[in-house]
Amino acid sequence: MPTPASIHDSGGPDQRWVTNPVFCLLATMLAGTWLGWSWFAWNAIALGGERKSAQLRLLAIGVAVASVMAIGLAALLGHEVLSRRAFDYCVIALVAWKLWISYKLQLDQRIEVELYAWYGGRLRQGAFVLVAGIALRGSVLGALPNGWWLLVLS
Amino acid sequence: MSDDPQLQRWMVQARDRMRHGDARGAMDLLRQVLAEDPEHAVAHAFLSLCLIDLRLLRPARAEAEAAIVSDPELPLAHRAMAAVQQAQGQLDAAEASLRHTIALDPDVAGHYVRLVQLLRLRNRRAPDLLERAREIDPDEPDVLVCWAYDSFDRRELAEAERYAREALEIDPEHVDALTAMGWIRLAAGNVADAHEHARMALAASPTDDGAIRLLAGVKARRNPLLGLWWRWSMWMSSFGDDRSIAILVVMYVVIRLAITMAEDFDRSDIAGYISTAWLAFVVYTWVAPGIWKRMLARDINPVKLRPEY
Repeated sequence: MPTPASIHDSGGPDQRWVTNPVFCLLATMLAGTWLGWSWFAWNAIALGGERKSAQLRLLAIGVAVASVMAIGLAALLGHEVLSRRAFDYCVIALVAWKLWISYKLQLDQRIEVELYAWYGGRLRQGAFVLVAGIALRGSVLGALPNGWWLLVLS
Repeated sequence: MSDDPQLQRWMVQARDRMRHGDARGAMDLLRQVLAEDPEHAVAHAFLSLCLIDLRLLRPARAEAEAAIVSDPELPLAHRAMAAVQQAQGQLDAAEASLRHTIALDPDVAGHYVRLVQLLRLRNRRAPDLLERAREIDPDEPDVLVCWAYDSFDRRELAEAERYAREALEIDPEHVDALTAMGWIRLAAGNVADAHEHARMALAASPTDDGAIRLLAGVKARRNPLLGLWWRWSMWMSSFGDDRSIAILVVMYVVIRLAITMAEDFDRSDIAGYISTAWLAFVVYTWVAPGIWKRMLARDINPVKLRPEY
């Protein structure tokens, strides 16, 4: 009987840093976009899927629009067009934009991550980074000088 | 490709073992075939599909590539490649491979079914593909199950049930049809009936992932801790991705407005209650799916058959 053709699995998936994107979403909500959006970008690169460019593009659009909104709001507050009270209400629109981008990214990465995990890929535990991010939120944002960028990164 | 009767016998046996879920047994035969005829494209494609079953994706890709190199016009080779690409999360590439499969072999309803199932992963409907599959084989239970899920996704439960019932009239033990009927009954709130369909599906195929998932869904719906989240997620999924994101963002805006207004009126106590309730909701919708996934993993893991079974 001839020798059967041999089969080797060359080491399994190499996407070692993939995390469940729900951690990135929670990091955005509870620690700020400085962590959440960086983490989404990291996850997109770690997954290395065909949607990586689209996800990074969406993040870039998210940052650009959030920056324009933040600069506009800061200018209106600075020129006293907006009262502090009105400013607090207007900031909600900026937060809603950041949340919308984050939900879009989470849904986009979820299917890839679920397929990756279903076929034997190991997901990195994200809880530690999330808790550390929440704990460090004040220190990270407090270390930055005051300015419109705080509205984008918080 | 060889016409050797021994190879043909091995191929028939391998196909038979694959049909009965014995991927390892089929692989032994397919490797024998490939030892005799290293360019046997169908054997490479079958081997690729077996390897996907065993979640060995890199060798599965190598085998699918070998099948395509051996016979670029073999639809099964491109279908195997699509399965590998889907497993590796390359859904656009998998779609392209399946469309190529259909171009090579346009009269097989199964190819359309696979493509419709793939598109459903990204919440994309494909009524033209469903229609074409029905034209080719109107009595194929797999096609009827696809129609059932298409109606189910649009929350047209009566229509979905009609398709699932039609599939079950043709094949009363069709696992996917039983599972589809279970999901439809679960969405309609008939938990006992959904449980019965999950049980029947698992009796027909104890290792079927879809049936196990349905059973875990039934358990979640009955679980006091998960029941609320289950209903919430079923309700949200009925809106599709974009609208469900819009609902969540609007909910957040309403909550933030309420908190800001409470603070404006010096009612920081009310603002605190609202913030806590929102945080509890966020944590619950984070923790509940995790518990459900662990429940699902517990249900899937013990079902492991001996290789010689």
